[in-house]
Amino acid sequence: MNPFLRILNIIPITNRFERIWKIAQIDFKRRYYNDRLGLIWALLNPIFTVLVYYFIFTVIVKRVSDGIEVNYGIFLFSGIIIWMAFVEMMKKGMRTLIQKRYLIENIKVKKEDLYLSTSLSITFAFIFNIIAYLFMAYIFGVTYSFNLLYLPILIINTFLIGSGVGMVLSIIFVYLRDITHLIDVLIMLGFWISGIFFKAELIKESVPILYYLNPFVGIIDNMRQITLYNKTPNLITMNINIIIGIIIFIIGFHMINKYSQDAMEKL
Amino acid sequence: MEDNIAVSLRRVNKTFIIRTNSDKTIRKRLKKFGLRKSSSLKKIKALKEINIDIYKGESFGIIGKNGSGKSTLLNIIMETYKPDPGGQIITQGKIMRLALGLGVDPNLTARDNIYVNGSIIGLSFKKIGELFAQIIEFAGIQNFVDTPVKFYSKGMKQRLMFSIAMYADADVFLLDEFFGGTGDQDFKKKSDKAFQDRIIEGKTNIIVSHSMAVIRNHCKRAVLIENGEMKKIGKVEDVIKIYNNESN
Repeated sequence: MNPFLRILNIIPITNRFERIWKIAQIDFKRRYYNDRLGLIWALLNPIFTVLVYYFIFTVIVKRVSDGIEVNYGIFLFSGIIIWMAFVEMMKKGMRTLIQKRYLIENIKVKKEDLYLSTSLSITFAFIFNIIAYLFMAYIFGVTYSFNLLYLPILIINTFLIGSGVGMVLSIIFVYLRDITHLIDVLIMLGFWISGIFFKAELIKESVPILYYLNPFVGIIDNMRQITLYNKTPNLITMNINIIIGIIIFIIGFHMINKYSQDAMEKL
Repeated sequence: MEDNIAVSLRRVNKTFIIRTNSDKTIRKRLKKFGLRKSSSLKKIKALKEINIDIYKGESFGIIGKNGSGKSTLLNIIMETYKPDPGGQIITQGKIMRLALGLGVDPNLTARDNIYVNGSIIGLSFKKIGELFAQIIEFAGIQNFVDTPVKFYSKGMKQRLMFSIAMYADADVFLLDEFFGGTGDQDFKKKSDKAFQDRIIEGKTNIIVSHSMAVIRNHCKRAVLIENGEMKKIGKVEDVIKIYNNESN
């Protein structure tokens, strides 16, 4: 079957959707409910990160935060939760074959379901963070409107890219174990070139190609447009990013369908 | 394929290609870049020309020494591994592999493990909810439902796995040394009977065991695998006879 048709198969056929949902739920519980603070950790992590950079960029290197009209902490927070959700989807996706091996070897299961539920469980925490973020921004005087309705598109976009990259990496990971080091470097690079710390316009002016081809510049920028500035998102980057997301997802999907059996042998 | 066949293997070969100095890191690959010839490939033929039909409702035995290819064969039936090009596997219905100690995630509670396993095998949550109490009761772990499985004793883990399998309702079971030594005397008595009634009867079973008594008890047909080849397939007594002769 060609990849396009296979993707259609994902559309929730009740039992299947139920299953993906439940495994996601259990994954989520496992991640957060074993600790005493539970889900709060999902929030504390980005908050601490924000505090660190907030201190650096408003006290030590002031120039970075100059010219940003809204509270810089909130500004950072919007970027960091998106980036962290993506990184986690990618890293967890990469280890799915190993972590879910106990199921794959014992019950015939569509492997893509396992990836989807992994990413879905991270999306739960992501949404929780977004709600906390909206709440905090509100306290700092931001007003909302119907532009918030664009928010699910950004979440889905992050999901497509994160799970797609995770699927691709999970296959590569089996053959090249030390790719993790390389990925850590790339994550750091992405962290600095996705416009988390400054406005997207800066990237657009200096490196236009990055502005259009790094989807996170657009996703983070649009997140700020619809939440902090109460504007309509930039539809050009939004559309490009969705297309990029779908392409990455299809590539990932195709790769696990084609190579996951070979990869299981080498595991 | 005929309707009464549950698992059909045709011309299944499996070759493992093993790089003797496996380059699983980028560093090693870069170091050897341009010296490709030096990395020596080793081919291992794990299975050769396997042709087996297993009928619905039958219990089929697979016997052979360690390293003869039994596990590879199971992995191929499970479609965890891919056969070499040209080989064909057709299976009908849901397949579940039962091997004690496998199939549960030690970090999850019994409740979560039951839900994960149950939903992957295709049960709806409603159905799992209905069976839940029975599964727990049968395993005798009522007081530990929400304890992570890693804190379970070995016996409890086995009972849980056994209990999930009993109610999981797959069409084909692959029993990988699943017999014997499950739990204490009480549980053993209870489980032997339940096992016979719920798993063996009316289901398709593929039984792998080193115990000839188990194979003889449950199977009418069996295959003997030796060095990846089918040495003999047919009536269980004939197959066991050949196996015993070779061992002596």
